[in-house]
Amino acid sequence: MKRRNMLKLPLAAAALSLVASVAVAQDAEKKVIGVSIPSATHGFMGGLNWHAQDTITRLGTVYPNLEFVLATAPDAAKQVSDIEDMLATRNIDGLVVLPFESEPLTDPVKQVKAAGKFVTVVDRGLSEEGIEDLYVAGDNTAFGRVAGEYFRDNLKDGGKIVVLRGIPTTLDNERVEAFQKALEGSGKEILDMQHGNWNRDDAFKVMQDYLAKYPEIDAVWAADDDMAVGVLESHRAGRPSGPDDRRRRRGHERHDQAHHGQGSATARERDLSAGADLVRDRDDRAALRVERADGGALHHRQPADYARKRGTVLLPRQPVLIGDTSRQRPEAAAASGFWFRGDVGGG
Amino acid sequence: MKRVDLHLLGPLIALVGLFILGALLNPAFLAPANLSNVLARSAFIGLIAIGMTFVITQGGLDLSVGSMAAFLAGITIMAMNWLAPITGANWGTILLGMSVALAGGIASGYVNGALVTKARIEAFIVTLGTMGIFRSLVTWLADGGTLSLDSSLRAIYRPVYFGGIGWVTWPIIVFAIAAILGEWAMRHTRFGRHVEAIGSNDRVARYSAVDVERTRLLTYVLLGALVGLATILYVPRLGSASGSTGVLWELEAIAAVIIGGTALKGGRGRVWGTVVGVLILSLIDNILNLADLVSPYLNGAIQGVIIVLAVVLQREKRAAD
Repeated sequence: MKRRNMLKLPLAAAALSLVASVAVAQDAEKKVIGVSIPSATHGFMGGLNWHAQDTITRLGTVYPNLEFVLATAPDAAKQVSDIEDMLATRNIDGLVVLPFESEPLTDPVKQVKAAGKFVTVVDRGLSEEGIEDLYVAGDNTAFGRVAGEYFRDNLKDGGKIVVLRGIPTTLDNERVEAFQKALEGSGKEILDMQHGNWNRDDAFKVMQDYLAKYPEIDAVWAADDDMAVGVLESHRAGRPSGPDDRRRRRGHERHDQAHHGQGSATARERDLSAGADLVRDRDDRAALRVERADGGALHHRQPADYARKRGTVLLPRQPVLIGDTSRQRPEAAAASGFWFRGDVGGG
Repeated sequence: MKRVDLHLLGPLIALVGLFILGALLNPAFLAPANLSNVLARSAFIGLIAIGMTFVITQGGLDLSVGSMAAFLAGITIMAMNWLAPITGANWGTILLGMSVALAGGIASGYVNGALVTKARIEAFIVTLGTMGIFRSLVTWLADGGTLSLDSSLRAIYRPVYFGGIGWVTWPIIVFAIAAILGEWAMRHTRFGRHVEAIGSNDRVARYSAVDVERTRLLTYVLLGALVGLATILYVPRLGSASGSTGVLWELEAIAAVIIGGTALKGGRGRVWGTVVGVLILSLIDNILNLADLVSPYLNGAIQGVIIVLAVVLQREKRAAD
C-alpha cells in the first residue's frame, strides 16, 4: 500500500535524526532509543516493520554505542503500555513513535517528553501541538500538486484524465484536492475519480471499468505503485473485436500513463523494463538497503540535513512517470523507462 | 406453486434487473469487453463460492478462504520462481506451479476439515484461526511486501487469465464448468444429497448410515481445491501476491452463497443460485463504476443494502409458503 512507501523515508530519517542529535553529539556514551510502531498486520505495516528493523541493524553497526528497543503494537492500548514500559524499565534517551491513533497516544508521549527525552513523531501527528521535538511526515499536498502540475504542463489542451484514489482518508483527500487545484483553469478535464484503495486488484477493476466507460482517456493518475501495476495490467487486457473496440484501443495507445510516487532514492534504482511490479519487492528492498549502506541519500546526507532540527520535517518527494506512451503500446513505453522528476516539496 | 417459483427466481430476477439497469445507465455496459471483464473477475469469488455452498449447506462455514487464496498465491509464485532456474521458463514450470496451488488448496482444506470433524472444534473458530494463520504466513513469506512472479514466467502464464476462446476467457470457462459440475454434484450425486441431509439434520443423517464426518471433511477439501483453482487463475492476472491479496473474499463468497438462496444454517444448497449471487455482486461493483450514481464513498453501502434486501425478500417468500 501507498503509505508504506511514504513511511520508509520518514522512519529512517526520524531514527537517523535521533542518532544525529543523541549519538553524534556524545560519542561512545551508551544511549537507548525506543522505537514504537504498529505491528505487521498487513502489507503496509509489514514494510514499515521491515524498514524499522533494517534501520536499527544498520545504525547499530555504525554506532555501536546505540541500543534500540523496538516494540510493535497491534492496537493503541498496547502501544501505550509499550511506551510506559520503555520509560519505566528500559531507561530510554529518545523515542521514535508512529502513533497508532493520535488521541490515546498524546498523553503517554507527553509523559516521555516531560521526562526529558528526545521525542520524534512519525507520520501520524499527536492531537496536541508542540510535544515532539521533531515531526517527520510525508507531504501529501505536494504529492497531489506535483502530479497535477505535471499533467497541466504536459497534457494537450482538453486532455482527459482519470484518477485512482486511495482508501478514503484525509490523507487521500489532501492529495486529490491539491491535484485538482493544480489543474484548475488549465483546460484539462478530470473525467472520473474512483477509489482503487491503494490495491492492485481494486485498481485493476476500476481501470477496466474506466476503459469501458470512456472512449477516450489521455492520462491516468494512479498515484501509487500498486495501483499503477493494476492499471497497466488492465490496459494490456484490452482486446480488439468490433469496430467500436478498435477505436477505443487507439484511444489507449495515446494514453500517457502517469504514475506518481515518491522516494527518489528508490526511483533511480528501479528498472522499469523489468516491470513496475518489482517496485516494492523483497529484492527491491535489498537494493535499497545496499544503496543506502553505500552512502546513499538517507544514510549520510539526511542526518546532516535533519540533525538537531526541531519542528516539522516534510519529506521531499518526486513524481515518477511510468512511460510516456504517446503512440506506443503501454508495455513498450514501460520498457523505455522514462522518469519524470518534478519538484521537491517541503524539507 | 407460483409463490415458490418467485422465491426460487428472486435472485435471477434481481440479476436481470441489474442487467437492464446497467444497459440503461451506460451503453458500454453491454459491450462484450465489459461483460467479459465482469465475468472473468467474478471467477475467483465464483469458484470459491461454489465450494462454500457445499460447506454452508452441510452446516459449516469457512472464513479462511480469502487468506488461503493469498497464501496459495504466495507459495505458488515462490515455487515457480524457485523452479524456473531448474526447469526453465516453460509450461512445465507453470504446470508444476499450478499443482502446488491445487495440492496446497487440498491440504489447507483438509487441515480445516480435520480440525472441524476430527478435533471437533467449531468451524467458525477453526477457520477464524486458520484465516489469521494464512494471512500472517503470506505476509511473512513476502516479508511484508509483495511476491512477484518471474517476468519470463509471467509472459507464458498470462494467457491463462487474459486468453481464451474469443471473448470467453479461460476464467469464465473454468467458472462455468465448475458451476455446472457443482450443481450436478449437489443435485444428483450421493455426496450432494448427503451434504444437504447433514445440513438439515445431522443426527438423522447419521442414523441413516451417512458417514457424516467424512462428508463434512470432503466439503472442506473440495472448497480448498476450488480455492487452489481460483488461485491458479488469479496469479496470472497481476503476477503477484501480498498481505493484501484476497482480503474479505471470504465474506464476498459467503454473501454470494446466501444471496443465491442457500440457507446459512444449512440444509438447502443451490449452486446455480450462488453463481447468480456472485454475478449480482460483481455487477453492482461494475455498474457503480460505470455510472456516477452515488458518491464512491457509498459503494459499500449500496452493496450492503442489496445483500440484505436479497435475503429479506427470500425470507418473506419462505414465510409465505
